[in-house]
Amino acid sequence: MTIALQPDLGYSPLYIVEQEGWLKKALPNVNVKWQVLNSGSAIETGMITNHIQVGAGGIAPFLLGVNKGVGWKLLSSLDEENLWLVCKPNIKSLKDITSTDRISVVAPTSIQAIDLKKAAKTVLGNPNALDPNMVILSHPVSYQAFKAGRTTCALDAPPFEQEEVAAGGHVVTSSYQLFGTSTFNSTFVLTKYYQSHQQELKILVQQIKRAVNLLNSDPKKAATIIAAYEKGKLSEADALKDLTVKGTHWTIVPHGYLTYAKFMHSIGLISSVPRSMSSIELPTLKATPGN
Amino acid sequence: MAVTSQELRPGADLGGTLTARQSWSRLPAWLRRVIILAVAVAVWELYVKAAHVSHLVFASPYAVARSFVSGWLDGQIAGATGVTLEALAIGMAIGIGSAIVFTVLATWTTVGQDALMMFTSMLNPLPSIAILPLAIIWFGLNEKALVFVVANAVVWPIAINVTTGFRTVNTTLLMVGKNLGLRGWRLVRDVLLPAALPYIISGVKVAWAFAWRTIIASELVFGTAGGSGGLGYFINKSQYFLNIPDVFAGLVTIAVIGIIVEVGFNMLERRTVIRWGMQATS
Amino acid sequence: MKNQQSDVSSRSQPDVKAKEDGPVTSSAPLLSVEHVKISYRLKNTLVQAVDDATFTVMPEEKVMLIGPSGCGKSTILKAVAGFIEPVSGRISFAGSTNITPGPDRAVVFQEFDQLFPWRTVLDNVVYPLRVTGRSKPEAMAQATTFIEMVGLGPARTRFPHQLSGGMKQRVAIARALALGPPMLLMDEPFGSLDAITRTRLQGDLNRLAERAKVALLFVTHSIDEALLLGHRVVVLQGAPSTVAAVVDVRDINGPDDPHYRSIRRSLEDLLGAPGEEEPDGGN
Ligand SMILES: Nc1ncnc2c1ncn2[C@@H]1O[C@H](COP(=O)(O)OP(=O)(O)OP(=O)(O)O)[C@@H](O)[C@H]1O
Ligand SMILES: [Mg+2]
Repeated sequence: MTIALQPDLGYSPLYIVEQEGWLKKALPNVNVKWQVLNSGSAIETGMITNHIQVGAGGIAPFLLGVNKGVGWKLLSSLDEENLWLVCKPNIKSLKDITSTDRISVVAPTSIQAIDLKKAAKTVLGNPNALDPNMVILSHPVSYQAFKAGRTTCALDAPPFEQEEVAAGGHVVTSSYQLFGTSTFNSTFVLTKYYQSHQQELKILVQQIKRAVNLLNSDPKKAATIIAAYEKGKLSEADALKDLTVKGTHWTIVPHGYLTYAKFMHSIGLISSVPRSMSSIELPTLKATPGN
Repeated sequence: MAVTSQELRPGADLGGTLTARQSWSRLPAWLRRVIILAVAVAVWELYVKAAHVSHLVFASPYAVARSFVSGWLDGQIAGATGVTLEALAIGMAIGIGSAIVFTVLATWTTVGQDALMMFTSMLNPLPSIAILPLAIIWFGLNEKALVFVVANAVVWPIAINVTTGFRTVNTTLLMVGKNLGLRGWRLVRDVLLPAALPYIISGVKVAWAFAWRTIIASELVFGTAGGSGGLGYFINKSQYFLNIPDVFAGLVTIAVIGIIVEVGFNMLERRTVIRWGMQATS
Repeated sequence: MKNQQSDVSSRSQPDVKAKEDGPVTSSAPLLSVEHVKISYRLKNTLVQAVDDATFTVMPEEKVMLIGPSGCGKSTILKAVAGFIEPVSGRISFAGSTNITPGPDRAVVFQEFDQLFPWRTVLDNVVYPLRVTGRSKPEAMAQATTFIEMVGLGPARTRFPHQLSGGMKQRVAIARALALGPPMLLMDEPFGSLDAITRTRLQGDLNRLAERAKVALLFVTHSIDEALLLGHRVVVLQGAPSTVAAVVDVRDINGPDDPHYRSIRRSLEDLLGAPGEEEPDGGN
């Protein structure tokens, strides 16, 4: 079983499961491989071609995949995070954006890109109004570019958005403001794979739940584990600060999927809205269904 | 400079019975290529059908053709191609312009030659895409950075080729030109430039190949602006949105443009250096 | 080595005429080369090619330069054409000592690659005429005449790479002749031609020079060619070379001339035969 995730603290529950070796202990006979990939799109391709069995990623690419017939379903959510649109002080509202301004998001199909479209629709009346201003930059590069004044606004995630504010930006709008509290990252598997590996996946979800509980109940300990996982690239203190950012909530229960789906449908990004949560989540979540 | 003759094709027209190989080589070149292409497309379609590959991984030729046509009709691919070609054209123009300056300096001054040698050996082996991060720092997240990267990809191969071309112009031809009283620009235009043409063309060819790869790669990485992204961005975006036929249609567009330019260069060479028996034999 | 300015070879020959007898002695020389010394710079060393060359060419006079391979004949020609500056000595042409390349001394080079590869045979001859101010119809007519003369009428739309070495050389000859300059500088122009073509072109050149009143400085290896075409023969010796003798041969009227053999013999001696460069001796 290959589990793929991305280098971002939003995937902390998975980091903890890996770092603590919980899955290995719970499933001694399963060969579990953890793979860190830089792009959600690479994880997606890996899953479609069956090189990756469990993927982790954002809400929007997941919904897009559902719509395109990838055949995957939610295994669990990981967290909820409030994503900020941070802009230079002179941008009071999106109406102040001109054609030379650049707004960075992490991928064209990222939840951030959808947030930006929603903001454009709400403020400017056209979901695509800011497309010409949109540039695709990974979170660290996006932060650098914003700090260096290469971009006017950045729509990233914690802890980058906090750094951007510290660098002189201010929050113009946020994902919670646009869509309400909603899931940031989740794990998903192909239904085909689920059917033949129900037991293992159930245990995986249990371990994720255990990590989520740890993150909520003892963030200090969680920070120690994360710092160890990052092998010196992140101090314990910084990890603790990042894990406990205001607006971040660790949970395996999905939130906001249908809200996002409805919006994505309304602007033509997906051709239909899932009938219900149960049509996109696996029975592993049955006890705690999302919305 | 080599003396050319008609292509000598072993096995052709030697009389006797026609073998399969002979009848194949008797077909016109374009027809042979069309047949190979048709067979390749047929194999591709069959593979997609028979192997049940996921449509999210591999598109059938039919789906690609449909995407290609609709992408051109609704202006999506056309627009992206336009954006790419515009940045490419500006970048190449700037690159060629700078190459001319470098060439003039390098041809007429030793300092210029030394400087060119140094810069070329330093910068030419560097994949131009590698300086994209720097270009973004210098020029910002806009088309200027792309133009700069393209110009950098273009300037060195052209400068080095044209300088070599000028420096290796046959001295007898130069003497003939001077003997006719040609001086300055007239000598450059009527003797130096045509005499260096094989090098100039091969320089521009190499530069084009570099520039084309560089701009597509840069757009793939850099993504530029969503509303005005080029072909590379179109492909990248299509992949994100799992529109695999669009990815392929973008790739086909890149290939087709490559072929068109190649054919253009071939035509130019056939009308000039090959016709004149001057093509550089490397 | 004794450096003769004299018109007669050092070994006095009865058949050699003094130059004062010539038809053109009264006017000033068109070209005069005086104690010219020429060196090539090779990396950091100087390679001396010509040590001391002195001779004159009168208007309409045909002067042959003869000497062993590598003695500096082409070098002298290039200096006269203005491509090389002598280290010392003086060259003056038409009264001027400012020698820069120009079409008044049209050159036929020794090298085959002297045609513009991107121009057809016709264009290679027309272009110089246009450059030197001839109108288009005039240039076309002139070019056609001379291309026909060198026997390349049927090949006039071909490009140089489609010609044989000798054909290329003939185009270069046509190009220089068509310009109708006061002086022609020719460097072994017939060297690569077959005997028949060579004889024909030698005849053509003789007639043309007569008609066009052109002075000729002509490099050859062949004593027979020198005797056939020349008014005077400048014999070069040694490397770097000096002028061994200037021999007047204008009264020799071909191989049947009673003086022919003896003057030929004396030239052979001057050139340091028996190991002569060109055993077949031209025609
Ligand atoms: N560009 C050059 N650089 C250096 N040395 C040269 C150059 N051209 C000629 N030489 C040398 O100058 C000398 C005279 O050469 P030149 O070509 O004038 O001889 P030549 O009399 O024309 O010989 P040939 O009859 O073989 O044509 C030779 O020793 C040659 O090596
Ligand atoms: Mg010579």
